[in-house]
Amino acid sequence: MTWLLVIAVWGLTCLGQIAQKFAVQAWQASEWQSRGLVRKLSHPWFIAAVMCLGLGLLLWLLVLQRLDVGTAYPLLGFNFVLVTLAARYVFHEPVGRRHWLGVACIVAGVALLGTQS
Amino acid sequence: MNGAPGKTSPLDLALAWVSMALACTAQLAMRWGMMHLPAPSKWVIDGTIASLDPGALAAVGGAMAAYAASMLCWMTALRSVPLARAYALLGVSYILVYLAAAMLPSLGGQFTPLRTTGVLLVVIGVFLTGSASSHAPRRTSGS
Repeated sequence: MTWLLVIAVWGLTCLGQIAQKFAVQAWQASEWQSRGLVRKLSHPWFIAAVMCLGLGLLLWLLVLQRLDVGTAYPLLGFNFVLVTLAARYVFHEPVGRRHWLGVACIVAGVALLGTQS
Repeated sequence: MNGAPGKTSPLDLALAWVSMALACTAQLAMRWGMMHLPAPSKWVIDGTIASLDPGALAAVGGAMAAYAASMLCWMTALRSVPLARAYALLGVSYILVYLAAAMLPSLGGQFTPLRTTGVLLVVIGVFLTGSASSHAPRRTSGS
């Protein structure tokens, strides 16, 4: 159950970060730069990001009821693995050797923390 | 991520540090608050709402506000802070939370060699992916 919660938090955080990226990109368009904060915060991508991250945060609270935050918080580093996979296989961006080495370190670290928490 | 390879503005760099500090504080406060609240299945007992520790509720509520503020600072900072530096800060926050959770007795964390190794592996991995992704679109300004 605890790990199902962690997996759900990973998925929601990853989706939230992708939506955040789209929101920031949209705000950089010339017609958005002059608009006020309220208009910017009501952009659909920003609302989608807030909803994903908000639900992820609620589930994260349940994780913190069960796991030590010192080992649970670094588990969120697994998002870099998901974002890398999305970049490579969804957005077809090139991923270099150093990047894959980082992914391997994160997977090893998360697996090790998983046996310890 | 954002195209123009300009200089890092000092304000954005400060915002990134503020964001990191807020995120660490929020994690510790959420953990402390949730340790003092019952599991959600016990919030309603026989049709009445269980009495919840007001201090714990305040800690969790304040932490959620800090998390939202941290997110806004982070998104603003990424206008000019290179991803490598931003990711490095995130890695530092994992270490700080690990240290604080084990040293503050009320948070129930502990140091073990295997846990420390796991945290360091994740941090090294985050550093590597961060530095790799900022090299991909060749920035002219060194960072």
